[in-house]
Amino acid sequence: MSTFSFIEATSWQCNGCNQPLQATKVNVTYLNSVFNVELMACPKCGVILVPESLAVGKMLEVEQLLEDK
Amino acid sequence: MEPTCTYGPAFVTPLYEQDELSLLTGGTLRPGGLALTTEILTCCKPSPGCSVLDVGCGPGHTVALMTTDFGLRVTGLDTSAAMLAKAACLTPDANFLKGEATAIPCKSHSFEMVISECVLSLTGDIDKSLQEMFRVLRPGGLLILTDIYCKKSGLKPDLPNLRSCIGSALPLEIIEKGLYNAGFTLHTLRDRSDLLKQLAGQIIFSYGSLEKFWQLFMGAEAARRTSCALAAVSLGYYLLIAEKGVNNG
Repeated sequence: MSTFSFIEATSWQCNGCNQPLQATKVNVTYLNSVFNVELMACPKCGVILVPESLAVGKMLEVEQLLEDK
Repeated sequence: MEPTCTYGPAFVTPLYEQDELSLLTGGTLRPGGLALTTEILTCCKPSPGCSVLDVGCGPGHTVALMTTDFGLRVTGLDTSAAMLAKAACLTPDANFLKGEATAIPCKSHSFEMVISECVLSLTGDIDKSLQEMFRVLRPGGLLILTDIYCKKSGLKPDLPNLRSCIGSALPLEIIEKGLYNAGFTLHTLRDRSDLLKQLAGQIIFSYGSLEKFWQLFMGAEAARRTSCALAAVSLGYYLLIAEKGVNNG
């Protein structure tokens, strides 16, 4: 079972739908690979909040991994 | 006697029997999962009723796929009684045998196809395993292999006591030589290292880092050493299809 999560309480709301974000399992496509990640998303329109820890942290780790050595 | 880990708690359960890896790979315990298996089988076009041996069938997801989706008569072989029990629950109609790839408990010329996914490098003696796969195939039969390989000869990862294909990956030249020596003709060889990287990336997203993933199975120091060792080597993933010639007895 996963021991790591990007889910955290957030005051962000979906501007278009005026809905509080909910934890949602999403597919992230990055460098031609697809990853299943749980992120905060709008339950109505599906817009996803990408937290800074994912954008500049884990993405960098994965990018380094996916680069050919 | 089970070997013990020098760098942390004893690691006695092989990686492929860990639930964490099962959850990440949809139960199949290998890069690519059933999507890759389906891709290969679709390419090989086995006739319904064709007899197939799955060497190292694990929890039996490929056995189930071949039985239900392709209508094949499947026998699953594995060294683990726990894995065979799971496989038998999933596909009660299939046959299951407990045994080693290096001494397949089947008569010669028993199968029209042999498949072995992410297993060959774990068998201890790939030459003997390939000879056995050749023996149990009928003339004209196909061998399908997928496995991890080492991209640079002589650079094997120095891993703590971890029973996994990543610790015993071999260069492709050794695998091709083993195939040739056993009598096989290589038909297709494709690099699918993208699938190995995809799995490693998914581990980072699911567990925070590769090191934290290894910490699930071993001590912190062993996990650190494992991560460092794997970062220093270049591993890839291949799929291949080889044939036992029609004139081979």
